[in-house]
Amino acid sequence: MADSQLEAQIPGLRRYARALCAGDAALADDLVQDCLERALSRWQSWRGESDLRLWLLAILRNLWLDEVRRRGTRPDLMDVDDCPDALAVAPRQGQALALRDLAGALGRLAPEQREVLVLVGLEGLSYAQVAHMTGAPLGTVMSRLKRGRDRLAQLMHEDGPALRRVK
Amino acid sequence: MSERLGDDDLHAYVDGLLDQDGRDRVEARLADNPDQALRVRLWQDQNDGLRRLFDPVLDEPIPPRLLPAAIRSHTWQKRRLTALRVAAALALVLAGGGGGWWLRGQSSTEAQVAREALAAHVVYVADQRRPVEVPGSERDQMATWLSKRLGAKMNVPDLSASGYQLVGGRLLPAENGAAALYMYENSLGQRLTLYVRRAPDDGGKDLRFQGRDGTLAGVWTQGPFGCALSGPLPREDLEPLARQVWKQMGAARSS
Repeated sequence: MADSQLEAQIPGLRRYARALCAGDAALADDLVQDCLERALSRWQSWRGESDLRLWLLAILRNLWLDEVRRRGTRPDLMDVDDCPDALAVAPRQGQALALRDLAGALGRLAPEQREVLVLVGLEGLSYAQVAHMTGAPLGTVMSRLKRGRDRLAQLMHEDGPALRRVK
Repeated sequence: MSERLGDDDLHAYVDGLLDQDGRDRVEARLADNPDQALRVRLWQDQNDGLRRLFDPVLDEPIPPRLLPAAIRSHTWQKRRLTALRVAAALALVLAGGGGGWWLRGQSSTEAQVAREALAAHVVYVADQRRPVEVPGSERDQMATWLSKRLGAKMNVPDLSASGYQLVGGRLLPAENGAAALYMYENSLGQRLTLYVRRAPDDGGKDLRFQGRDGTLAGVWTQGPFGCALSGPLPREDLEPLARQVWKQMGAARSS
């Protein structure tokens, strides 16, 4: 039972991890693997009480944070050129470039801003759910969201003014 | 209708978190406010971009190594790696020098307690199967046993209010005799350890922190004990937990 429930969550977990890692697919899948291992070994502590997806997102988030701390990398020092080719998903060239810019800019956001943008904008969590998951007060979540959005716009503007609109 | 809408409302609108009434109010507002409308459009584009960028991952075939059956069978392979990983983690955590959190103006006792605590943390936290000798369900017997071995009364702090349940404890050798190690775990599998051994009182100095590579220990001396709470947490998260432990251990001594 655990296996089929978990398996149904894997695509969503991979998407979330890919976004947290700003497109680094290898690191993202390593985190998903660690997350699933942890979930299988802690299955008893979940016991169906809470939302399985949110529980898994929270486990993955902590593993990602451990990784960020372990590397000691400030994401704004990451090389934008490390942004992998797998991100060129869009059919039209201009759009592909803009999306690649977005991935690069995402990778340069401070981790706490990036995770709020991803949890809200991609995963569709409410601000209260993000506050609960990150352990930050609601006001802090809001300010990370606002600053993250401003910073993201600024980074994309720096990278290429003509491409800052994604559409 | 045209009352001032806060930024929070605009963001909530972008993120689809408003009800119909709220959406109507924001849209009416935006119609009169091209500047705000532009910002809202920009944020909507960002959300759109995130979905376009990462939604295709949902349709990728799942790599076989991530399937639950594979994860179960990989677990033993990973255990073999554990010895190497522990050695590497120990070297990093205990290595002196740059990059880590190091005690400033610390007593040598605190530094020694911190080193022992971090080593014990790294070694036992990695153990999925047998991280403790005595399970947390035998809290009272464990407290009696370890108090006897350390030669002073000691209670086992309760961190359940912060989401950490007691996994259990074990007896360890320390530089100057016996040490107790208690392990706690939250529902996400994050583990903390509390390391306690006898140590000369350094005069009630404050908490100090030591560690690196994502593992930090908060160290203090208290009565006959030197104590360290270690975990994969940043200082601002570890500190309140360490203070709770400090308080609870102090309460136990006077009771």
